[in-house]
Amino acid sequence: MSQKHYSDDTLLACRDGELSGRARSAVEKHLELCWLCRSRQAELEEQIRAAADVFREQDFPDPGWVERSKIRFLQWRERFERNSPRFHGLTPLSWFSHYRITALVSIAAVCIVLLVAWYLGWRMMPSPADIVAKSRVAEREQERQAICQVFRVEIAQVKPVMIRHESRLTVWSEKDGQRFASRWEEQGALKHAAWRPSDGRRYNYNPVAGSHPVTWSRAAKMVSVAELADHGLDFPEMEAAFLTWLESREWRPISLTWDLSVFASQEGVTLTAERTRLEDGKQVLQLVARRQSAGFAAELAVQVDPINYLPRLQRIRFEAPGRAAEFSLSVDRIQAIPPAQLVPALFEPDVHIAGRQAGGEQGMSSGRRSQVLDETNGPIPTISEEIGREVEVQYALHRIGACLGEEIELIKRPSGRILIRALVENEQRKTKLGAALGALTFVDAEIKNLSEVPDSRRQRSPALGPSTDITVAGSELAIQGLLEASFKQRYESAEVPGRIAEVANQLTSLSGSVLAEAWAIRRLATEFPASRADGLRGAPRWLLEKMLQDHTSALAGKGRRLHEILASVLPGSIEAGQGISAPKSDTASDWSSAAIELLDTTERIDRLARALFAGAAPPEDDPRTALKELSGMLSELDSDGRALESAVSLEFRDSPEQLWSGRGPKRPAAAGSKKEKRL
Amino acid sequence: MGEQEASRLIESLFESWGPSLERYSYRATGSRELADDLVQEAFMALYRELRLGKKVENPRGWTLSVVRHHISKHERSLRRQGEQLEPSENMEAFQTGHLLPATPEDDLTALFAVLSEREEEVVLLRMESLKYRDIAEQLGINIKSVGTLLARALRKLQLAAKAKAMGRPVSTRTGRHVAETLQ
Repeated sequence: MSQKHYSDDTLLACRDGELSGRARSAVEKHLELCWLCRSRQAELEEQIRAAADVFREQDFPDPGWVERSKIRFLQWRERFERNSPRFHGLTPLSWFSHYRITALVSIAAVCIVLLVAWYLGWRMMPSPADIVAKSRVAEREQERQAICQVFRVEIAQVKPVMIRHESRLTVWSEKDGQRFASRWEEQGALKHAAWRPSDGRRYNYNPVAGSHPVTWSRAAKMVSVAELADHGLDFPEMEAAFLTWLESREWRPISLTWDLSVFASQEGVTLTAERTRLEDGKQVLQLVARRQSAGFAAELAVQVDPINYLPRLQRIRFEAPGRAAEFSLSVDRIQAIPPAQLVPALFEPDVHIAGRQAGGEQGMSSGRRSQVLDETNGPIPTISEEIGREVEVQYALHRIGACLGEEIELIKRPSGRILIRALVENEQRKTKLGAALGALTFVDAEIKNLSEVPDSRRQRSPALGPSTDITVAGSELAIQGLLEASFKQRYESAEVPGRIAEVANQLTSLSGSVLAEAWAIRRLATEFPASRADGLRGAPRWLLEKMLQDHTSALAGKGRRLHEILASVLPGSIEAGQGISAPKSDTASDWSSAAIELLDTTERIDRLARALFAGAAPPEDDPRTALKELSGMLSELDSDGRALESAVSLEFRDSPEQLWSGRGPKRPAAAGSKKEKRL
Repeated sequence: MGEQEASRLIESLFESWGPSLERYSYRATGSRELADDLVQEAFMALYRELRLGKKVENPRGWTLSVVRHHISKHERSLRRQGEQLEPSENMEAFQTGHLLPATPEDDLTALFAVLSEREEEVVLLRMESLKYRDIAEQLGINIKSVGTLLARALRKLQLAAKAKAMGRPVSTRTGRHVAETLQ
């Protein structure tokens, strides 16, 4: 017989019923014919039986095992069910697995309903004309009360070259009293201002037209922002156009939708509205008016709050072949102010500008003014009024730059009046200071110029901070070698000494100037520590914030300039941009402490700058190391400045509503007592 | 699944499959108490699964998996205990048989002494009436290997029985001879 035999595996599988029908019948057929395989299968079966017998002989588990195990299990089950109440009902998971289809359909249905609702809500919005009308009503409602509007102004030439300038426009307006003031400032410099202290008195200040405020009557026709491009799209033209726009405004708060409605009513302009989401996730209604003509396009967009319909941003873009410009006004804050808190000084023209412009009272000598003021004694002010008066005096001095180390003494009298004693350089300065203080009826001024005092009294008070007058010593500078090496590559040898002296003078003056700003901030911190500043309300509080902002901004600008000059004259030793640093993560907890830190840094910078560029005392390190140290200090100055800026912002802006309410502002926990003691 | 329904299923499974699982656990651990606990744990786990609404297609295989998982955990923990002992204690533990699972000293042990661990597992599971497919799934081997291992194990058992009858020594897994094992 030539047929092969099956293996033990197959025979066993056949016996265990693990073979498929055809295979099994083949094996069975073979087994009928093959005694050898039959006997092998019998051996395997016998072995299985033997093993099974041994297996069966094991009396484990005993017959009662099943019952015992069941009882044990049931006891456990009872405990389990008692302690797991979630199993009494269907868990979300089990519910889902049981009713999966129903659940999916329900979820899908809910999603569809929500989507439809969202879509309808999105689409069903008021018409553009309705939004404009509602927005105008909201703005008029706001104008009924005395308000302060602060806008961020951006004027940009987009093409052919990007030039962008940011500035700030502040408007104070009181409808009932018919008082108005507006100030347009860029980095602390006043670019335009308008005042209306009362109905009959109107002043305007435009540095392009003249250096002093002039009496003013508004243009007969208000200019719309859509007309800003009428004179050209270059930056200077746009800036001039904005000034024209400002000067043509009525004596009332700025309305962002007025311009839009004027522009939209013109021929060929299409107005659309859409709901959109800003980067901060806030939803706004965006109105867009477009006009497209041959080779010129203008698009004016206004973003409106969908809840109260108050506009928050106005942006206009002009495009012509190869040219584009943008102008935007965005609301920084708008606050209603109790009229009692609008001090008259806000609506009066800046004294230092007006001093030489107007005659009469402003032309009065300081002696005469003192006499007049003494006759105007009023009731004794409260403590907070007294602090407010001090702020107003400081602000008047600040506006003429008298806060930067001039020898001025402020004495508080028991009557509440303030005596100012000042020693100024010349008669012109004396007049200016007298005019600055003239508007303050509670001030007595004793101002003298140097020629009026004996030589023995001409000593500088150390409390006033350092002198900023620097003269470069004639001897060789600590970094003479480095400067010469750098300048010889750019200038003729004969020119080099002169250039070095010029740069050294510039750098030491700048460093002194930075120090003067830091001292001014420190003096404000000393005069108005948290315990006093907290009591300030209304305009005095705003004036204090303004002074701090001005000094911080001026200090930062001068610090950057210092770094730029260093980087340009010594490019190998100091890299451009190195002095710009990220803001400190652990910013000082209050602005007084930040002011101290800033002064520390500034003093170190000034010392090192004098050592390097004025030959005051040679630095301990070699010049290159000292330069790197100076660069590091400038970075530190930058971050200290930012820290102060944020601390001031936190102190004065954290809760703007409180500025004008009776409650005090929030104050973070006081910084280390060490810093407080230094104050 | 409801409480009553799940409970009924578990109780019927106790009757049909519980003793087999208990025997398997005992053979693997050598401890009746431990085998009891393992089986209980497996049935409780199955009950929890059913109450959570999960479907268990093959309750026998499922509970066997749980038991095998616990046995391997138990073995690992015993090994770790052995590693933590001092060398002298380690030797003592090894000699007293406390280090690794104890093997029951009975006829079945003597019978299976000639088999490899895997062969013994296949035979045990087959004795508990598991299909080749279930055995392969549990042991993670090919279904054909089940038949081969089973046939090989039976042949070894046959040879060992013949040797025993003729009084000849046969090598066992532990190195001892069958005769010694059976004495």
